[in-house]
Amino acid sequence: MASNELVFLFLCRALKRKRLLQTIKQEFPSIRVIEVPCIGRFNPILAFKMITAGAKGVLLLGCDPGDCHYREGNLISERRILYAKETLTAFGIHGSRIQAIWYNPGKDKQILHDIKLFLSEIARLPMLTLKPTQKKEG
Amino acid sequence: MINWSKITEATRHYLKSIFQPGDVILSYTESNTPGIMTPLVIREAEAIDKIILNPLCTQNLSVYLSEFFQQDIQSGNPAAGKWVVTVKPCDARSVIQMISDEQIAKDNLEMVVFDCDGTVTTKSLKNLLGGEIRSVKFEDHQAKGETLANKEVTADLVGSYQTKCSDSAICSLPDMHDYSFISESNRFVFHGSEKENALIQDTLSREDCFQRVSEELSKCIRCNACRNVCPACFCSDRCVMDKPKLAIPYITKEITLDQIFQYHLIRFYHVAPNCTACGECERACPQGISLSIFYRYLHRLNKQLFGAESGSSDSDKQKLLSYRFGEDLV
Repeated sequence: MASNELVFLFLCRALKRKRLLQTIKQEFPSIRVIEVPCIGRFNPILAFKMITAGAKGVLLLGCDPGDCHYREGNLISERRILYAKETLTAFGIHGSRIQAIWYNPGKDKQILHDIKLFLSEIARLPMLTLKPTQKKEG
Repeated sequence: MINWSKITEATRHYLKSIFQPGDVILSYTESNTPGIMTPLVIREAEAIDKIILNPLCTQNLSVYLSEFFQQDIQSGNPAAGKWVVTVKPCDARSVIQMISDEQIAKDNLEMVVFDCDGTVTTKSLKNLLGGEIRSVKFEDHQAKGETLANKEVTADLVGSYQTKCSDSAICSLPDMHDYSFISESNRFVFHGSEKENALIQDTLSREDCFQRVSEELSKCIRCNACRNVCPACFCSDRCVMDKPKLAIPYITKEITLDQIFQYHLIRFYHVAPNCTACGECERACPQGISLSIFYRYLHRLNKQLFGAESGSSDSDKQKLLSYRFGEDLV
């Protein structure tokens, strides 16, 4: 994967195991990691902004259902991602640019594998050509 | 087919029978400009005779309803009587959806639904009749009009109804359980052909679809008309589009293609659970962007995901909050 391709990873703070974070940063140096208090804080319009600004994809790493520190954060987020994917599809953009991985404690290897899959999937997608048109006067 | 003068008479008759002092009625009347209908607020029984219903009643009155309710709550002294609103079946779904979103109160509201064959915008009527309109009458899917050049023209309306009217999936009656329904004769739903009703998200490839959407959206001038007229957009003064001065703004007010895309992505995502495909955004757009490519997709999506279209029942839970523990995650 070319290093100039932007991929963002939203990481739940409860998941901020030092080892996992270090491994992700080592294995995938091009991924930018953003920490959020809970994955329920993730707002899809952030992802839309990233994608329209040229990011290749946005990945979410949240807790398993039932494991959320705030009880329902990941469930709220799940429904939002469902609509966010459909939003992109309706506009002719691949819905797979937004994806969520639900974290199971003790399955770090699985997560790294899932991230690799995601990266290879979005690497095939074309770049969005949303060139800013000339500003209209007035 | 519907006889519009009969529907108008029946609606007036019914409203007179239920009207009590203190009530407020929202309905349609003719404006001073021929060919344009305007909303009418009635507080006295005599004014009920001003009501006129015809295929030009395109506005969705539920938007006014939420505004009035908010003013009612903020002013501290709520209206003495109840609110009565006369709506088309498609707008009735908007009202029902707003009740289930807790934007308006059901107890104080009486909804009178009048039957409708299809509505036609002033713009397409002018095109049909070939010029500015002096006067117009409607009979059996036909418009008999007189233009400013004193030419009498008869035109067939069937092909010129709004996009939502030609799609039989969108033009369906909601659950009329608690509401009064005024119907004169058999309801006629114009069915567009399958090819016309196909969504571009299905027929075109992803790249072509993106191309088509970019072409449409490049016309956008960011006037916010689609947002202001939308009954599903009820954040009023707390809208994210009005906050471009945040430290890291979600959206700026520039008219560039990426900002236009961002605007429409945000709007689509925000109205997604509540959109009833009333088609107001398309009618209000001054640039003529065919926003039906989005709202028709949403209409089908909500039906697929939740089994029923938005606005079919006022006891529905809000869709973003309808998750259950243990359900399969995406």
